[in-house]
Amino acid sequence: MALTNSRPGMMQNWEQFISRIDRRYIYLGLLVFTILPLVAGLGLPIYATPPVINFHRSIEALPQDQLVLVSSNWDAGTYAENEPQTIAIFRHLMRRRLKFVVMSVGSPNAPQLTQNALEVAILQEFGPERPADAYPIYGRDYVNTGYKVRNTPWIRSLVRDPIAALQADWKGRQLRQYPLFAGVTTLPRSFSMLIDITASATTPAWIALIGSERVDISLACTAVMAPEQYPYLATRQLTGMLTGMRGAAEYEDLLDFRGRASRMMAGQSFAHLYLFVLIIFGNLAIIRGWFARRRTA
Amino acid sequence: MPRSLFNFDWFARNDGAMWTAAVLSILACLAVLAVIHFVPRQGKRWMIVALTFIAGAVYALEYFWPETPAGEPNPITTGTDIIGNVLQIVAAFTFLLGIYNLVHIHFNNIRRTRANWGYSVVFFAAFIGMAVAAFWRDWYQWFGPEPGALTLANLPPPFILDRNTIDDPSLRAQLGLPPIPDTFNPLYASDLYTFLFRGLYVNLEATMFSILAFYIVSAAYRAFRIRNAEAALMMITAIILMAGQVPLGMALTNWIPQEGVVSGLRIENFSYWVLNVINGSVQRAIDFGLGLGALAMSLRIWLSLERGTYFGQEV
Repeated sequence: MALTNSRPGMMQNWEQFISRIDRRYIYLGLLVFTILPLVAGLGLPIYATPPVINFHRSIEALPQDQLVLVSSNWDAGTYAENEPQTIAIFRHLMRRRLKFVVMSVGSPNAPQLTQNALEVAILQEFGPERPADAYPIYGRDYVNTGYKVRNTPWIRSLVRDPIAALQADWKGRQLRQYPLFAGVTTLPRSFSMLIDITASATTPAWIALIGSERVDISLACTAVMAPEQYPYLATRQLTGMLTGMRGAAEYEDLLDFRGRASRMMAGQSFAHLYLFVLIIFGNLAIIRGWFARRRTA
Repeated sequence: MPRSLFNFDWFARNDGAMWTAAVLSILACLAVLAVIHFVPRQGKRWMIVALTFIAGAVYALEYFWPETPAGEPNPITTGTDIIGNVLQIVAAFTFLLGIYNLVHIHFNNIRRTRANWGYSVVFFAAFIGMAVAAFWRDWYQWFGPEPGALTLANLPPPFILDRNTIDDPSLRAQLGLPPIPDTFNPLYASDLYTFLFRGLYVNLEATMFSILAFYIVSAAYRAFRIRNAEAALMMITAIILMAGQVPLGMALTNWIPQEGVVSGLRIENFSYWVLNVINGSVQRAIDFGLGLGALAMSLRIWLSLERGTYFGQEV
């Protein structure tokens, strides 16, 4: 495989040279820079940022046995970002002995993926020898209500009467039979917090429909979505936010465990470094031109 | 284990009233469709205009109609809950439509041996395999006997349902199953569904998405040129944000104290400031623009003023 796609005589300047480098070399470089730090097991320090600290504080502030609605709306495409977030959030909810209802309005695969993440979280938090009747018990401490198609009229119904809107859990079993739903009236009266773990634009609907009802809303989203959410953080319509894998790693740090996100951050760090070096490399001709002009002047 | 919503006994307990209502609803829908079919084109247009206006007016009225003095919702609010459930049912039909469309296209690909028809065979293998694995595994919960009468003979074979995934202690005792081993991890259950979903689907989908990273690196390397002041500003911002996102970048400034005025110079804090203040204000402006645009567009649709495809023109 030749380094460039051009013949040597055709290489007129630096820009042409770099634009003709075979992209497979660039891909190979990224692969090496991502995998090597993971294989080497590099551990890098992580510092929690204010949105993550606020997310953590909002769960810490909830009294035990309060009900939390976890709206989990991600698919396997964003597994690397949303799965560690989901595990860390579930572990925190379980540490605080909170009760939670899981629902999905983003993807039909989300209930299964979230259930898998929940099982990992239970295993990590309590170990394999947890007695069958210990916290958390399905139906008493948590319920997975499965997937519903997202539409504003239905979310309004959910806010007014969660049991009537959700009706059954993800296996089609009626919700009214579960002790968790005893005494549940409206969403704002019965739930203290809503956590939106998402890879799609689900947050504005939650903010519009329950943000004014004294229910704290926190968000765990993919990194690419985060810039759009900052206005909601500034107005405190979102109490906290986890941004991609980095947010999950910061949350793991706050919860004092080293999970998948913390381990993977080394790979992400070096991938960013590689990208940074490539951008500098791509601009060398322009930088050299600046210096040449200065010398001439 | 409780009975399912989808069990046919549930309909029987309602003395067949549900069946009657379901059949009558379907007949009524067919009758309405037939009437619409025979209405002239201009009449159809006015029906759409009227229905759109009524649908929008319901929500507008519901919003502005005050609650009762006792804090109870107004009468329209209660009615709108039904609309939410109706939309769930309509959405369920779109799933069926999607499946029909996929099957139709891929079946024709195979029948006419079009180019790459082999991929259509793969589609059918994946579609049928996943559907069988998922439905067969849960079949006994929907259509099996009452939970109290459930026996091992009612369960699907072990390669479809790993017995260790049945975690209800009383049901395990009833079925005569041994305790779940401590080493068992439900994520690695030995059944076809887990193999297909967790072993194949999750990894394939995650791989598809991760390929983006390679394209982004290649594109950034070739396209990120600091040809003028704006591009230079953008690149500096991008580098600060990239450095602020990863521990390696944070390590550059971890010698700066975490408390006090100078803490703002730490790269993660500076990056947060850029996102929260500079980006946040711009995003807010965009959101205002979007909101106003959405309001104008909603009014145009509600009042049937919008023109173009789907709004008056023949598709």
